[in-house]
This record gives sequence, C-alpha cells and structure tokens, in this order.
Amino acid sequence: MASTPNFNWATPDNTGLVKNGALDIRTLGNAIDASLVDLKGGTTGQVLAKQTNTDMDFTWSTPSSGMTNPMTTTGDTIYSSSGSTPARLGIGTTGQVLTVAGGVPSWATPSGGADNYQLINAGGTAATGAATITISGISGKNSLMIYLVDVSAGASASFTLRVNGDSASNYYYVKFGQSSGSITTGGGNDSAWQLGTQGNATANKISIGEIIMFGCNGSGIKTYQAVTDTNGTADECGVYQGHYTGTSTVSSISIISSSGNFDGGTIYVYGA
Amino acid sequence: MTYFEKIVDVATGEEVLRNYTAEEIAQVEKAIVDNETRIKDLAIKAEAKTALLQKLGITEDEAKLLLG
Repeated sequence: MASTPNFNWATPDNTGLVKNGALDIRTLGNAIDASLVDLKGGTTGQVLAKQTNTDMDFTWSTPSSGMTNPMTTTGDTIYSSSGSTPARLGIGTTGQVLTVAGGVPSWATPSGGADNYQLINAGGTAATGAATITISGISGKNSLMIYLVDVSAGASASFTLRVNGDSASNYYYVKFGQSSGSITTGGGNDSAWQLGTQGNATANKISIGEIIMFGCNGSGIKTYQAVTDTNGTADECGVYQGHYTGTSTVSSISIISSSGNFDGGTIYVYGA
Repeated sequence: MTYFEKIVDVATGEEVLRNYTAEEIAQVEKAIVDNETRIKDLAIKAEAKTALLQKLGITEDEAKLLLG
C-alpha cells in the first residue's frame, strides 16, 4: 500500500477500488489522529516542547518566565543579589574601579596605594643592654622605615642591619661618606648591610639614622637606603644603598653593634 | 664581658634576651681589638701631624693651602 513521504501514513494505491475508499480514508485519518495525539490538551500560555527525540513526541509545558532585564542606562551591569535575583549596578565615574563591599560588587575610587607608615614597635625599642637589637614579628609590611636616635655602643663601633637573622653574604651595598673630614667610598657584599660607624670616642653616637627598606613583603630582592650621621670630633656620616638577595618576606630586622652591647639610644621601626 | 641579643616581638609584645654564642662573642672581641688598634693609629697620626705643623711653624689651614 502507498504511504505519505514524511510520516508514512497509509494511503490508497492508484489502482485501489472505489469501494474501499471509506476504509482507506478512515485508515489514513486514524493514522493522522494517532500521530497528532500529543497536540491534544494543554492550557492557556503553555508551549509545545519536544519530549523525546522521537518524531511527533511532544508535551505541553509552562515556559520559564526568564530574567527581567534590570538594566536602564548605558554602562549598567547585572549581578546576582540575594541568590538568583538579578540586580542593576549603575556605571561608576571615571577612574573608579570595581570592588566588593558588603559581599556585592560596587564601583569605588581607588585609594591610590599611598604608603601609610605606622610605628610597629610601640614607643620605640631602647638600644641598651644588648649588642644586637632585633625587632621580630613583622608581617604584611612591604616598606619599613627604621629611625635611629642617639644610638651608641663602644668607640668606633660599626653598626649593621640584618634581615631575618640571615648572616650569609646576601647583602650588597655601596657607600659614600666622610670620616674625619675625608671623603670615603666603598661597597661590596657582606653578612649584613652597613649603617655607619660611631666616632672614635665612647661619647660619640649615631645622632640620627634613617633607613628605608622596600620589597619586604615579596619574594624578590629587598632594597635599602640608609643615611646616618654621627656626632663627635672624628665624626662619620654615610649614605648607603644596596639590596638583599634573600627570598623570604621580612619578619625581623636586627641592628647590630660590632663592638659590644649598645649603651644608649632608641630604635623606631615603622611599617607600611 | 657578656653580650646579648635583645629580641622584641611586635606581634606578641614579648621581649627575650639571648646570650651570644661563643662564635658571636669571638667576633665582637676581635672587632673591639681592631677598633682599639684603629683608634691608637689615628692618635699616633694626629700627634705626628701636630708635631710636624709645629716644626714647620704653620697652621693646619696653611698646610692645606700648601697642598691645595
């Protein structure tokens, strides 16, 4: 028997007898009726969706409502608020950056990354009673500023700065200074950074010393700059710059006297 | 002489005094001897300079002019 090309419904052959026409029409109608059975039913607003990959296998379903677009203005963005609820974030102003506040995104003016130095050894640490003064427990500080005031030890004591107690020759520096009226220069690598030399009298001292360290909170090299001034008749002063090749973040710094215990002065450490 | 390391932990506020090791003490004592030698040398040079200036009958500034 002949059939339709797409759904293979039975149709009368060209040579079929007229007397069989009613049966043929009923057979064809029943086949079409069976094929379209999934279209029956449904309710207002429903849409027809495929139920399986089989031909003519449909089902009536309620369409999802979709997301209501909350955007109203050029530059708006959408974020999830309260779980799956879409919310509008209006565009910020020129120069603002996207940040997070209260668990949701927002536009904010960047702080500019300005260093904000704060004293981390409250009141300063007395440079007395020890030949090495170590400030430990430092964390999260990328820059350190060490301020020496009236620091002294024995006559002609050399003062050095060490990082994390590392006494290996990882400290490189170059110096420009004066001693007893003569210009002095020098440099090299050593087991600590040079900071200066006390004058050749016990009453001498480093009246002022300023040391800046950068890169302290990273894994790369750390740099330092130091300027120290010693009072006294054979006074010394120096300008130093250098770097330290240790890869650990800086957790402690030590000021060391070469000639025995410190006998005066204060060490202030600021971090940012 | 006894030498120490004073360790101030800014995270805990704890302060510890540690005795220097024998190796550290040796380093300090060597530095002290070196410094004393250096100071003596400077004093000897200063005395010699003063004596020479007196012998020449000129001041230090005048000597600088001659050398300049």
